[in-house]
Amino acid sequence: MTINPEVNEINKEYEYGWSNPERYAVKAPKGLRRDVVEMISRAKDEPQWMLDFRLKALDIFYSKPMPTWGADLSGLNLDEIYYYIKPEGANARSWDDVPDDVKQTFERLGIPEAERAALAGVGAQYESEMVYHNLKEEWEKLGVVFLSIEDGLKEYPELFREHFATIVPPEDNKFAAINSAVWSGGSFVYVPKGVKVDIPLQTYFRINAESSGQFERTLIIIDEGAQAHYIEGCTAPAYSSDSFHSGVIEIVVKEGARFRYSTIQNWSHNVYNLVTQRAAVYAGGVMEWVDGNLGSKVTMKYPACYLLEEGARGEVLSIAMAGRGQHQDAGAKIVHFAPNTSGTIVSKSISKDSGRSSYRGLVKIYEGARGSQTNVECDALLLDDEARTDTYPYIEIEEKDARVGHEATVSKINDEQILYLQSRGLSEDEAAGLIVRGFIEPIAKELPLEYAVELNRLIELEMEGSVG
Amino acid sequence: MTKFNDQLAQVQGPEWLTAKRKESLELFTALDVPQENVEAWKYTRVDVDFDALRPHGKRDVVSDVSALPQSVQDRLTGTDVGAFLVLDGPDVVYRTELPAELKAKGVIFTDLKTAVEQHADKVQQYLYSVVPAEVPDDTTIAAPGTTPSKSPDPSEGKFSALAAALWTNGAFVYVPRGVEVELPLGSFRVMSDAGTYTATRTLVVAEENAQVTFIDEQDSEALPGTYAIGAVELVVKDAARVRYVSIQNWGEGVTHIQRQRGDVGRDATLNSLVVTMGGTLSRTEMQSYLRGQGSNSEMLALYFANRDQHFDHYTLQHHAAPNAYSDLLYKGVNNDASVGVFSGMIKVDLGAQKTDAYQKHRTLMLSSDARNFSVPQLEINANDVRCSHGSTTSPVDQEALFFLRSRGIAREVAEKMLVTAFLEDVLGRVPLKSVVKYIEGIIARKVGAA
Repeated sequence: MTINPEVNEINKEYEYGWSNPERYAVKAPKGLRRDVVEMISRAKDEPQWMLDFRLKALDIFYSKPMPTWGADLSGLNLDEIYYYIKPEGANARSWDDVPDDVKQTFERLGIPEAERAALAGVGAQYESEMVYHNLKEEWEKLGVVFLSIEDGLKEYPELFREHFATIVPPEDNKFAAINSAVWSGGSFVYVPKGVKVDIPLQTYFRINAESSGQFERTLIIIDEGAQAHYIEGCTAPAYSSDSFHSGVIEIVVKEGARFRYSTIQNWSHNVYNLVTQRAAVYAGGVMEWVDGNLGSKVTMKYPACYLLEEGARGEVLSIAMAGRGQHQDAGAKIVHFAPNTSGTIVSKSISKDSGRSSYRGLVKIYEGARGSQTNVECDALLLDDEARTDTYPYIEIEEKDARVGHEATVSKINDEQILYLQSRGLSEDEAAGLIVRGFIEPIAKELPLEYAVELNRLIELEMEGSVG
Repeated sequence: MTKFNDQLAQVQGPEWLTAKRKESLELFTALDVPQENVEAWKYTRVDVDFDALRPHGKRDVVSDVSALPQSVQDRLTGTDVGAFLVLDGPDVVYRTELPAELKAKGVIFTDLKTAVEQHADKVQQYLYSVVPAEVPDDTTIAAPGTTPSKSPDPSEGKFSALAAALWTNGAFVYVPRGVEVELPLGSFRVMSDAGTYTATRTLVVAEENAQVTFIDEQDSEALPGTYAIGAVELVVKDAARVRYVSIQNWGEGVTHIQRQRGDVGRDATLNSLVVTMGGTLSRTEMQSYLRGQGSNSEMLALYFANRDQHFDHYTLQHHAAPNAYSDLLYKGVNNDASVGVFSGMIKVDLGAQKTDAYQKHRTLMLSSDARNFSVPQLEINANDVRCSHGSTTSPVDQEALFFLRSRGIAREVAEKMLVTAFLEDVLGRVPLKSVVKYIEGIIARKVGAA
């Protein structure tokens, strides 16, 4: 495992920047081409309908222009990306069967430990494929399904097909179309009626190869009255050429169900992270996105809740931290289709050293969604005089009996607070760190303890020497 | 476009102006009408066949107020402006003179065409300096190395190019250094020719430490398929104070597209009020470019849209210097099948430390057939700032309604009272008695409480 010296400089503080030598079972040629799509489908031994779906999505990708809004994507060369890399020994159920270097990778990242500690199930994706997926027996017995997306398609073909691409169709946006054409890896989760999985399921995503693309696809169905919490984490080596991650996450929260999806995104600072995440929420259901964006070069990610039936509720808690050269274009969407639905968006962003964090969001209330309401709160903290922040909220109201509020504030770290903490014996950095932790506290406290600790640690790492 | 070239030949002027007009018309011809993919025009489509448009007919100059349209006469009886112009369509039809004492102090108030002849140097210096033909490049200035902000789309200059090329007349105000003009000055614009367009401009220049108030009023009968294209340039030099009021009360069928922009110098103050009540499609841009340190801009607006009216308000608070202050409050009501759009941007450039910038947009929805789109935006590149924005959309306050009804007031009346109070709240910040009274009258008629 070596650290690429060229980029050592820009990723100085990034502790996951090492990479393994490349050893792969299959590595498709660069570029997004029909034969690559066919090769992926063949490698996965897919039914014809899925190949047809992929090829249709490829056409949609070709026909859609790049977005004219959002982050600057001019540095992303889609022809220079490897769209499919299958590691050796993919999709083991036992940790012992995972190849040694991959195993070591995840052990360095703490995955097996995490499983032993406090998780109901763990998945790990390396490049394009899940290398490991396991669910604790007690949950399996209750009918909970936690598989790689490929195994989901094989083992639950009907349930899979009923929901797949219904929430994020390939037409949705150019990157959803890319994902639909070349998707590989991701999780398939089903929680049966009334089952409450009270400890989290986790999947960890790792890109290893240079110029690699990762296009995981996750489909999660939480049946009536069920509950679950899913966590994803992501890292990649620090290469000098850019990598590309474009996932699609589809979630169905049925009547009275409750689901939380937490992400701590810590890609290295050379990854374009363009993700579509959306949940369909039915009567009385509750969907919560907890979205932490710390890494990547560019992120465009707006977790969405489509509130389809009466009483559905959506919440998005978002933290973004942008350092030098980073642009976090993150936000949320809450769309009210039915009466008495409600939503909350809380966004906290921290920018430093010419890093740019943007909140971009949509609140839409369709006619007939009477008695609905959403509140949006965006707070931005700027750590130095080069940092920047933007807010681009779109509020679209078609119903008289609806309430939408949006508030945003921008501020710097309060000098008086720093001075006070210094007078109590803290160094300036410690004081700033404490203030930043207090700033993100409302969101950090929603994470399981070990993740909250990790989040705080990452932010502290990013904060070192940043005030002054 | 040959037709516009013909019209270009008809609007006279000195060589520098003719060249500028020609250049602007070329730009206009080259640009598309802004489409949905242009963020600043996301919710408003202007469907216009320029080839079918003819210019508004010329109207004769009248020597007595009694010869003016009745609506103008009614309005003039209630105004306290110190001097005014009346424009019917393309040109001035009536005017009053500035008091002699102001003239003696060097204050100029005339129509733009006359000003081009009599005050050529001043007009040449300032005309197009704030609202040029093209869309002003308000791209946020950020630290090197940060990812760039989007620049305006060239098509946002489509209508300003038209206004730059083919303006026929408008108002010109010049206040010399240190002179304070107590009574407001104004222009009353009417139109009377359906299926036509007019392009007019207003240019207000307040030199260092000068002070002036200018009121732009627009009023007409119903005029199907009629276009009023305008540009308003406000030059607010160091420590000057300008108050600008625009009251748009065109009749049904009118499309109103106007860019209003102030260039605000050091320690200068620009107060603006935009009132939108009339027309069928209305797009009013109010932009404050805070160029000087310690400059100050207050931006107020109120609108009431009913039937199929589509009102689009686009605002910009661009902080280009440190220690500047801007505060925006826009309040609107959407009834029937109307559409309200508010798109407001606060930009703070790199180095504009100690900026205070606030923005509030409040909407009342009175009908579920109505639509409201609100996009309050921030682009901040300095850290020692206080910036906030808030936007709320809601129905009439049910508790207040209940309270009024419990006092025996009928539901319909109570609702009207609350709507009126909601809008008039903005007027509390405007120290212009006569104009406020006039606006209250328009609100009352529109709400149906008169």
